[in-house]
Amino acid sequence: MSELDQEDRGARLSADAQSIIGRKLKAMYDEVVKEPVPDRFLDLLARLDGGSPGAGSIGGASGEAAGAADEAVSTTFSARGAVDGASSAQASMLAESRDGER
Amino acid sequence: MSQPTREFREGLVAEIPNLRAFGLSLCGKPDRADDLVQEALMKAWAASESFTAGTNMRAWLFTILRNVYFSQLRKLKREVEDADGSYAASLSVPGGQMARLDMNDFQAALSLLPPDQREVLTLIGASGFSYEEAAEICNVPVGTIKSRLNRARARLTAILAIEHVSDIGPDAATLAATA
Repeated sequence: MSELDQEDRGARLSADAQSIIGRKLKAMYDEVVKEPVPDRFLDLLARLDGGSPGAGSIGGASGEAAGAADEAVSTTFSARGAVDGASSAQASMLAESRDGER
Repeated sequence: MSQPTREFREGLVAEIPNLRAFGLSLCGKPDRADDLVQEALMKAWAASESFTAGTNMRAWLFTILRNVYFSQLRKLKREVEDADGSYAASLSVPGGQMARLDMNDFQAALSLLPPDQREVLTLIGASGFSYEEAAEICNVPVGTIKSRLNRARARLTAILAIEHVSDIGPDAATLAATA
């Protein structure tokens, strides 16, 4: 099927179908947008900024941070500019997760 | 390298909710979406000097996140296809049931689209970017954005088995909806 045919088919989609898809997509997206920002990201930015994370969030986020650190090992090797930042963030997350276990 | 400004950091924090939603639309898995966001935030932090204050930070961050996603996708291509294939096989949506689909079903259907179509559908249909902005984020011509969007809508309609709505025509559909 040529691209033109596909576009033609797209153009003939009923307004009903498009509006149902549009509403579902937006609802799914907005559901996530409305969620509070997880501590994981605020802690990450605080560390990148050289500051210390909020004291209240350390205990609850430590397990998640340990998982994030594991992930960082496998996903950051290709990050050119971010490698240094990633490994220092990862090191401090590991340190924090050990603190959390005590 | 100078430290990013406080405004830059606040800008990042303000965009995290949209980045998470975009990430989830792209990869379909909440944990993986947040890993994408984390990776994007670290890259953005390291590249803060390449961001021009006063320009569209959301578009800049979305570009970083989608580049992280597509570069991982290329690396993990086979693994991802296997996972999506088994997901596809487990998905069964009876015809005409779309109005009753819950969000998980819709997300599952979305995951069956090719990633580049899913991306454009989200950028235009949910994030509210213009065709031109989406073209810049995806680094393709505007015409490509439009054709991906049309293909995404057509394919999603077919997956969700609502083609019958257009088959019977708008008049019949309206009658059915108001009956």
